Amino acid sequence: MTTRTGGFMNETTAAAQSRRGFLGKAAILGGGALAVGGLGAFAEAARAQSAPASDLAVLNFALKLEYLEAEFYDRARQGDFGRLNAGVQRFAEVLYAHEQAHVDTLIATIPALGGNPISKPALKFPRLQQRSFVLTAIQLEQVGVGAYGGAFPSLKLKAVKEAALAIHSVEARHAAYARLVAGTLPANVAFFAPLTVDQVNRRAAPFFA
Amino acid sequence: MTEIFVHKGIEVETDVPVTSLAEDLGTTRDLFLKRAAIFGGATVAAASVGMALPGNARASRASDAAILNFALTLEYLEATFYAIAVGKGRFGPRVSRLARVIRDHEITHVKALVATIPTLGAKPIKKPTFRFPPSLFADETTFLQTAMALEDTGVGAYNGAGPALTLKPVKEAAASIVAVEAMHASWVRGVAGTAPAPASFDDLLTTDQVLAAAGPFIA
Repeated sequence: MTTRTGGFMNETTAAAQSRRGFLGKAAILGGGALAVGGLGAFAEAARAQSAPASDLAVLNFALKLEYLEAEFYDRARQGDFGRLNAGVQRFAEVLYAHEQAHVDTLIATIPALGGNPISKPALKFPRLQQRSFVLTAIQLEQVGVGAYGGAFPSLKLKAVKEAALAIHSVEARHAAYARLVAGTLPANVAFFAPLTVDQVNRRAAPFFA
Repeated sequence: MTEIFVHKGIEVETDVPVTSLAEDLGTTRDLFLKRAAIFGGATVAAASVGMALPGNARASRASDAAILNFALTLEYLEATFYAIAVGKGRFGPRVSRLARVIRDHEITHVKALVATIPTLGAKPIKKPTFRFPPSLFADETTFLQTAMALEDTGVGAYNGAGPALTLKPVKEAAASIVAVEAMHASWVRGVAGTAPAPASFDDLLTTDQVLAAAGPFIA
């Protein structure tokens, strides 16, 4: 049995090893190679392919949401929403790093597929403090999960499907993480309903200037 | 409504309603029939669904059904694992609640898949026999470590299979399940004191990778 190395940021030895095992195999088999490289890997997988316009539109729609999430957590970690306790600060740091990685990956992937990434939209955030920040994070993450889940069935290119799925479940992890931090049930439904583009737009509208 | 799910002689109550996924798929099947009638010139009225469909649609359904049957194996595995944990585990309230809620979700996934696969013209697999050493439920840490491995594998399995799915309602169902598996994974990890979301991209696992992880539990 392994011992904990302590804290959310550190994985147990066993989990880390099994993860490395998966990643190692994935790299060899090619199946999960995307996850290994993160940035650039999707672009690499997509190289020399041209995505249909509908896939590019989905990726740009995703990029818009990722820009929103990245800035939201960047502001939080820098203190815009007041002082955060250690657990919430860590949550903001981790999610910022992930959302920024998603932004960077999409910016690299869209041109590789023959499209033009949108530039960063103007954003606005309500006045928040620790509690309302975490509650807003739940809302944003759930919109993210619903957006990727809703877009996935329409995607055409395999590399784009893979990228969307690899991000979709991370957004779901974030949503549960936020709910955990808020002290509410992390998984409260057996099925998480996908959202339409209109539903996503309605829910995200308050954050776009 | 409370329903009873039986596994290995242990009766488990669940108050989670069975989903209407199968109904959604039923609607889709009707749509397929109409399309087949319009575009394929097939006679719809008498024939079974499979007979009425053009060959490529039938192949799509068979291929999606095979993927769902693979998913069903994992859902049976998870449902059984958590049901045993609820029945046998001596855990504190936080871990007990986790086991109970996730068990209910996994049972709901099992029921949804069992109801859905026949609408694709295939037979759901029978529940496999599982072996879980009692030591897995002896303490919270061991239970959570195992749960973590199972949930992370579940996420990777649905993610890995996703790109091969062909039918829209099946893709929607898979997406709505994998999101919940990822929420479970995050929850278990958080309660275990490890990173709920350890990477910015999740893995897409191959069937072989999934079997390597889940195989030891299948008798």
